[in-house]
This record gives sequence, structure tokens and C-alpha cells, in this order.
Amino acid sequence: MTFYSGQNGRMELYEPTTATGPALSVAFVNNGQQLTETGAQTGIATTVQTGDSGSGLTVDFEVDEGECEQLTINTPGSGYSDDQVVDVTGFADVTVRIFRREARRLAKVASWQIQTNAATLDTTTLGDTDSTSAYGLRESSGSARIFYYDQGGSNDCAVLMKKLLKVRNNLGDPEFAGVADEPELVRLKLDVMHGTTAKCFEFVALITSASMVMGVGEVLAADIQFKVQGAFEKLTVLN
Amino acid sequence: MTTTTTVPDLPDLVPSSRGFSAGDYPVKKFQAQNGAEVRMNYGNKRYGMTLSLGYANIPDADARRFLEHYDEKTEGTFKTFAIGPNARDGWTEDNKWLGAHEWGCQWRYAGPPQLTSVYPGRSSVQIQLYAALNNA
Repeated sequence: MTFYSGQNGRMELYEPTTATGPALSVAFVNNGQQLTETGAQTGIATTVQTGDSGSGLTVDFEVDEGECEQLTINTPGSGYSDDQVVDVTGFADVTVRIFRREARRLAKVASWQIQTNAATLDTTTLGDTDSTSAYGLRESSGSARIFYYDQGGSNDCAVLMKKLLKVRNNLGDPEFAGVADEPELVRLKLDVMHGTTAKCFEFVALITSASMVMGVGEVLAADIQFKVQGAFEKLTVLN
Repeated sequence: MTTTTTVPDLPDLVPSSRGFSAGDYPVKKFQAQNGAEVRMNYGNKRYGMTLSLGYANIPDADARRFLEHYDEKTEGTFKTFAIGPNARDGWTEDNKWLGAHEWGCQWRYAGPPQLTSVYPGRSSVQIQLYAALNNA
């Protein structure tokens, strides 16, 4: 029997890699309309758009009711950059975005916490004496505490806070005092390490809050709160 | 033009909310210039009851039954119909007090069913009925 403690926990953030290389994940930009093909499509080639580089990516997907879905990588190819869009050969107007984002362990995470709540829809009717309900929307959110530090220009606390906090544009121009870049979505992985393998929650999230308190006798840390965007992408922690 | 076609009852689901307005007799008011008022009752049957029924968070398949009833069975607000016993569920007194039939009236839709989708596979439906006197 194995139990887990804080020593088994860690937190990872997906960030774009600057170097070109194989596609790490893909998503449809346009999934087509009124396609005549049906069923599973395997090993379909892709074509880079004018001015882009990369070759060899093939993908698998299904065509259902004229639209493509269930996209996965068959062969990752090489020479692609993050956020690059490629055409799917032989499928009119179907395009795929390539992601080259790798999970990187965030340093100095003191704790993380995640919770899921399900709303309920009241289905009680007249004449009932006790309320009845059906499941409504699920919502997941969480928080993390990360120590602020400096080490050779690296500071993962700041990396995460920068996803929410943005410096105002056009400094010095009062007309644009209220204009700055929008907060960014992040893709996080909360790990429970089992030996060298990670059982994880993996999800895209919105950073909804970041707070820091400086106090005598305390190490400076940021409390980050996030809200999961949609459903989890991986839940191997439940395996 | 009236119809004598038998129309199926309203889908017999138990509502989650209900409102009833008791209508009135065909009373006409005559008012003198000094403010004195005389009222004449031209009939012996109360009419114009309204019944609003809410069905919250029901499966889409049940919601569809109301749309189907409104469209295919009653031809919108055209035909009259009866309501099933479940529409008055939770009312512990005689059903006639929340009804129209006792006074020679029959229910018809006052307007189209209002449907609100609340969750995949679940919707809320609000219907408004109006009781009209039979043309007999």
C-alpha cells in the first residue's frame, strides 16, 4: 500500500518551445463542412502553408456527419514551430494547428489544491415532499502557493503571475491608461509522483487571482487561484 | 369556426410550478356620471380562467411532447383540449376549483409553449392556458 504526501507533489506548466521540431499536439482550426468522406481516416498527410517550414506530420481523425473530429497525431514529423497551422491534404478547408508546448516543472511550489463541484438542477415537482435533483454543470477550480525567488534570472512564481498581470500599453500616454494585454490561458499539470511516473490532473485554466503578502518573518510567496477551462484533459491520478 | 375533433390531453407531467387565475362571469359595468355603478351579469358561467404551468429541468424528450402537442394536436391556439390529473398534483382540494370544465369551459393554449434549454438534454418549459366557453 502506498500513501502520498507533499514530497510526491509537483506542478507543471506547459510552455511553447522556441526550437522547431516534431508536432507535440494538434487541434483543428477548421474541421470542414459537408465532407463526403466518412469514418476513420488514418495517416492523412499535411501540407505546410506558404512561408512555413516543417514536414512529415500525418494525422488520424474521424469524419462524422461531414465534419472532422477526434484528431490525433499519427507521425509527428519534424521542423515545425509552435502555433503553426497546416492544411490537411485532400480535405478541403480542413486545417490543423500544431503545438510545441512541453510541460516544465515549476520550482518552489509549496502546495497545490484542486476541487470539483457539480451544480444541481432542481427537478422537484408539485406534490413532492422531498426535493429531487439532476446533475448540472461541473466546475473545477484550485489554487497553488509558490515561493518567490531569484536564481539566475529564473523565477517560476513570476512566470505564472505574468499570465494574469500585464503592464499597460503605451506608457506615458494617458489616453491609453486603461489598455494592456489580456490575461493568458495556461495549461497546467498537477502531479502526484509515483516513483518516476506522474499521476496527474492536466487541464487548461484561467488564472483568476494572484496575491502576494510581504511580512516580517515570512518568505515571500504568491497565492495563485485558477479556474479550469472546460473538462480535464487528463486524469491519470484516478487510474 | 369551431372544431369537434377530439384532441389528446396535455402531456400529463407533474409541473414544478403552477399559477391559476379564476376568470370572471360576463359582468358589464355601467357607471353614471355621479359615479354610481350598476353591474349586469349576462350569463351564468364563469369563463376566462388562466392556468400557467412550469416544468423545470425536464428531459428534452418530455419537453418535445409539449411542442408536439401544441403543433400537431392542437394546431397552436386553435383547438381546445383537456388537462390530465397530474397538472393539479399537490392541490389537496377538489380539482374543479383549479379547473374550467365545471363551468362549461375548455382549455386552449393562450400562446406558444416557452422553452428554455438549461443543460444538454434538459430544458424548462412554461405553458399558458386560457379557458374559453364552449360554443354550444
